[in-house]
Amino acid sequence: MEDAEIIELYFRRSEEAIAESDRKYGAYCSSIAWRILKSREDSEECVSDTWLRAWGAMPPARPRFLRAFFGKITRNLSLGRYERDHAAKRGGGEVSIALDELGECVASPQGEAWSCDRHVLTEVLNNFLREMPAEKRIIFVRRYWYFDSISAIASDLGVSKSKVKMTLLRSRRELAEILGKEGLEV
Amino acid sequence: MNRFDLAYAMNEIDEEYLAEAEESGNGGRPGRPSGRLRALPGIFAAAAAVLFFSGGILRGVSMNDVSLRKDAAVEEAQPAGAGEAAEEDMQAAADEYVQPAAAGEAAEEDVLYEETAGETADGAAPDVTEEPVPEEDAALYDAENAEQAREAAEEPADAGRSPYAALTLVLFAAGVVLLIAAAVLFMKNRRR
Repeated sequence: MEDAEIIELYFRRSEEAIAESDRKYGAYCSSIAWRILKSREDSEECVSDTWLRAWGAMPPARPRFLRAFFGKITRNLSLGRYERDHAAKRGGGEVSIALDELGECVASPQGEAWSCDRHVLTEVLNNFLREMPAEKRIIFVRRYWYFDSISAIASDLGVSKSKVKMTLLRSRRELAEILGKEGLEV
Repeated sequence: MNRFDLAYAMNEIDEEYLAEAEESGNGGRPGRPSGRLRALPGIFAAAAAVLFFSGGILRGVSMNDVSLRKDAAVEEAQPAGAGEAAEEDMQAAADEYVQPAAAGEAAEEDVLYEETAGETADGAAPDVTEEPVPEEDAALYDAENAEQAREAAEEPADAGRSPYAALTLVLFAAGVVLLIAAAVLFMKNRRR
């Protein structure tokens, strides 16, 4: 079924919308949740919650990219669960490493949760990504949005792991500089 | 702000960037081969070319060295300017050598016969003893020398004596190293 038809089902409040979403994007959302949580049960729960969130969001939302829309919800839910489960201690794994890397961009990665509007930060991130060359942006998004491993990114893009690492390091430095200029580093 | 704030903020980035990243990922399938793997045919070709040319040059140098040594040895064995003449002399001497020998045998028989008959064989012997024995020996000596020189020249050439050969040997070794590197790279990628 086409994305537009699935969206239409949501707008008509047809429960078939959830079944169709699960059929088409269940695996995709599960992979996102799995990368973060590394637990089958937790991943399944997050995917189920994704459809409920989507049910609540559409209408009025009419996403341009349904796949990305569902992915965002799943990632958000999975990160929330991850944060809750790992509040006390830092675990190993790709997510923890990626989060630590992101933490390098802020002055106090272990500091208190930020009180400022998150949309401001998102806007800065969007501007930052817009200015980037395509390959650099893809590497950044795959690492910090999809939490892909460095070797997976290198393999998929046909570049060396050291190149991916170096690209990420430079991107983080640039982001830290931008955040500093915008007064968002704390 | 902590690391989760940035992670959550990342969640709201433009969806087109997510789509772009998704398209690049091939859904986890193997993507474009790595730069090194793409260079593999080139490495193989370079190794083959280096080996081919350096091998060819090495062989050429070796052959050249052999012929040079052969010429030098022949010149050493035969006085300069006497080459063709000496060959003719050698042939002539060899021809002459056969005839007197036959005559000698006949003379010996005659001597024996005449000795038995109680007469001296002095009359028959001069035909043999008058032959130019020193010339024969010289021709045989020359022929022997030439043969030895030829054999010496045909021994494996010491290619390292030529500066070109040394350079080519280095080139050849580089070709071998390249070939090994390409093979290792190929095996590593095949395992993957």
